[in-house]
Amino acid sequence: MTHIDHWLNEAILKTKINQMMDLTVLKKVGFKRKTATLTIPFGSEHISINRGSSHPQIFPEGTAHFLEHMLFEGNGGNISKRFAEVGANVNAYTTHNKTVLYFSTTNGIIEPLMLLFDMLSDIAFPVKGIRKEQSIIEKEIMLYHDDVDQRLYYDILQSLYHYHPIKADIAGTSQSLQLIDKETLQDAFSIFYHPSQLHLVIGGDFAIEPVIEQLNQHRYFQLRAPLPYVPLAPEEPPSVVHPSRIIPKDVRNDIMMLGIKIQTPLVSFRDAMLFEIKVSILIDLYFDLSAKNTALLQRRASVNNTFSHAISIAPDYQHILFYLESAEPDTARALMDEMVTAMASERINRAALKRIKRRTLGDFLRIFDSVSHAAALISELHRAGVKVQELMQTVDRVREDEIRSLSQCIAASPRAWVHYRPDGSGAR
Amino acid sequence: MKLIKKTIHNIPVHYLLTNQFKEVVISVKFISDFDPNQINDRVLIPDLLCTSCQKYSSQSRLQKHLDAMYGARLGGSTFTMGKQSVISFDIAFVNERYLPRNPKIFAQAMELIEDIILRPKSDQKGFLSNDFSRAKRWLKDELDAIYHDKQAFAFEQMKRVMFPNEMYRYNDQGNLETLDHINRTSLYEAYQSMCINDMKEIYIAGDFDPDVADLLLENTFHQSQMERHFCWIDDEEKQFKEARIVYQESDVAQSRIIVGYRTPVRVGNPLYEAMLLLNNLLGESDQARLFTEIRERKQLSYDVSSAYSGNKGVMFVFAGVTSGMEARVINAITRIVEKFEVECLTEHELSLAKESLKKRIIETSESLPQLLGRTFRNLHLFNRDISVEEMLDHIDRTTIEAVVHVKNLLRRDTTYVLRRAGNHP
Repeated sequence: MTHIDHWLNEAILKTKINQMMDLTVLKKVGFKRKTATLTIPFGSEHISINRGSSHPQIFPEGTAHFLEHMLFEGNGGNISKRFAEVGANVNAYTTHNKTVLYFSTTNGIIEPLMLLFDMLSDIAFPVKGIRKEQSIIEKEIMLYHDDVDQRLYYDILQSLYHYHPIKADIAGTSQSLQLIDKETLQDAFSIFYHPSQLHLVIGGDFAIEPVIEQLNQHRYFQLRAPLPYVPLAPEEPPSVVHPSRIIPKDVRNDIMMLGIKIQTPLVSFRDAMLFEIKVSILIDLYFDLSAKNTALLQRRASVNNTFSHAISIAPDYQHILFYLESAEPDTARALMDEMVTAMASERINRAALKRIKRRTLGDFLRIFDSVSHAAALISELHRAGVKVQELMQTVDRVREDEIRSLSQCIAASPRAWVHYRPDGSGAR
Repeated sequence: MKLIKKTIHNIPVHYLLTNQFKEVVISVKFISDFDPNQINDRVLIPDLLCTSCQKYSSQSRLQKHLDAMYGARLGGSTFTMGKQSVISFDIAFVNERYLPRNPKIFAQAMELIEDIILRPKSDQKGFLSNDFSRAKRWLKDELDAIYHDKQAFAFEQMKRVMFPNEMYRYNDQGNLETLDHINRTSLYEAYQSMCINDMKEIYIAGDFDPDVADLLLENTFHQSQMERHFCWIDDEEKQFKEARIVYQESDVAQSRIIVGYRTPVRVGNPLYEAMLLLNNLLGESDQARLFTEIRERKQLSYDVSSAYSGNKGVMFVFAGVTSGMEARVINAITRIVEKFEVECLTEHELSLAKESLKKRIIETSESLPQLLGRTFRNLHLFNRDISVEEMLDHIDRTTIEAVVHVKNLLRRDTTYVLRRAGNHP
């Protein structure tokens, strides 16, 4: 089962624990740091699933994130301390489409690994613990209300999407938090945290066999039937909700975000990942630091060096976001719109394509210098069912004609702008 | 990791040899005394230099060259350590032995960093007008944007209140108030002064052949003088009789609280490790006192933590709280910190804090930038590189009594609250 990539000089092994949980091991010889990254396919967008009955099962907004907080409430709430006692730090986070539970240590990996699955085996939902986390999460939501970048991010998602749950805050709202009770959490846990749903990546320098043996014997992997479900995503129209919103804000610079909502028939995470590679190369061609568009935006529209983009491609939603700060916001918007439209007809620069592929290769090699970064990449690849070498080959084989048709698709996609204009209250 | 020290053309050169990484990093540092009048110069110089040079005359051309070097990364930054200001030019690139057809990236990187530092674009009046105005505008935007991050904004405001006459009050990443005093000529003069008067040092880390590096360095940087006295500890103090509390208003959803403490324990003090442990026990982990009491038990805050600077001798406690709860949280913080006595600290608790600090130190060996940073710090603060084992040993030997002793040395100075405008009790 072991595969050693000689070119990379990295050994990656794949196996299953008790025929249920997928395990990937990344051997990092000479590294003292060891990590474990457990991915659970439960994110904020999973608020409606089909379990075979006539009605879909609905979870309140923020359930995945709430459940992530509850993981630490078991055993009298001293989970982190137990990890600390074996020299490990444990933490977790929730995104739109997954929950990740992880730890790192410079001591042995087996003990914290056993604790990680004890944590899942012993999960409990006492009413007191639920109330406590409600109160803490409310403060977490408030904290992000003061974060301009977070606000802008959710504002653009709300401009782009009519119904898709990606538009909702990952943590939910203070109202939705009140709807989350013991039953909701228990239900969600038994569906999404079933061993067959999990993927574990462990990385570092340690003997693999004893780890696999111990995991196989852990009580969490006693054979039990999974609870099949199909995530439901509402029918999302291709159009955007608000093509343009100007919002007066307590900010000192004009800050804007352009969202491009792509509509393309993707059926799997695999399709999504391969598609994302192409979109990423395309956007780099037109808008990276060496692109003439970037220089023009700086020169003609006073766009500053925070100009950047983020690409999000999943089977059920796809968008590109551009972040701009400018002293001439109206010019910047007009110019940016023109540039995106012009992508449909511009020639692809062959030399630039080659250069970007080369940079991508270097970026990729570098990821393996960090056990944690490599583990994160491997988790993503696993979900998509894409091999490490395949990812690189895809980059290498991207053709000009593919990029051309993709640029036509993106140029024609619906767009939305959110513009935070200084309201004067934050004047110096 | 093997450290080789040598001097080439009067410049101290350090090779950090390790074969654990696929990347190599070259770092060229310029060191001078911190001067509040030069803050903007020292931020703008690396910003400007790292966007173009005579050979790669625009950001786009420079980026194309970096891409061709398999995505090499070039960066310039400035930081303050003690009373010194350091400008650092860094280039990180994939080791050529992992790349197809073994391209000569190492030599290219050395050549590029030299071009960037020594051959910027200029005319008889200084840096080119467009380049200068752009860098200045970007810096202004960046400083304005601190306001958008309420925690960072609160901290900048707080420093002005707590350190009215100390250099620690300055943000070393720029000063809006004096930004307009700079022009392209004055900045170019500051750059020339940096080249001539700053103490230079070179660090190269990764898996490379030291002989090749020697050869490449023979033909690049020079400096006339060497040895100079630097002060890597900020020992400025302030006389004050009692702690005070200061409120400021802003449009915030949550109030931000910062409690500032002074300590005479700085880096190099025999109690330094005890102070690191105290900070860890109070607010650096999810078992820390402030976290377990204020967040977990009382649910008064989502984010409560502490930070200690051993170069200055200060500790801060940070918390975001619901409006109206400020007094309760401040009382809780001061009670937790100030009632930290021998009897409430167990050997077990201390050993957990030790493990957590030790883990962090061990991990600095597993990232090239962190390894480089650690070596730089050790060489300057202690005049030698200190092994990981020695650092761990210092932590292991710290006792409960020492931790409580450093707690007793803390003096609460300023409590700062950034809150929404309105009626407050």
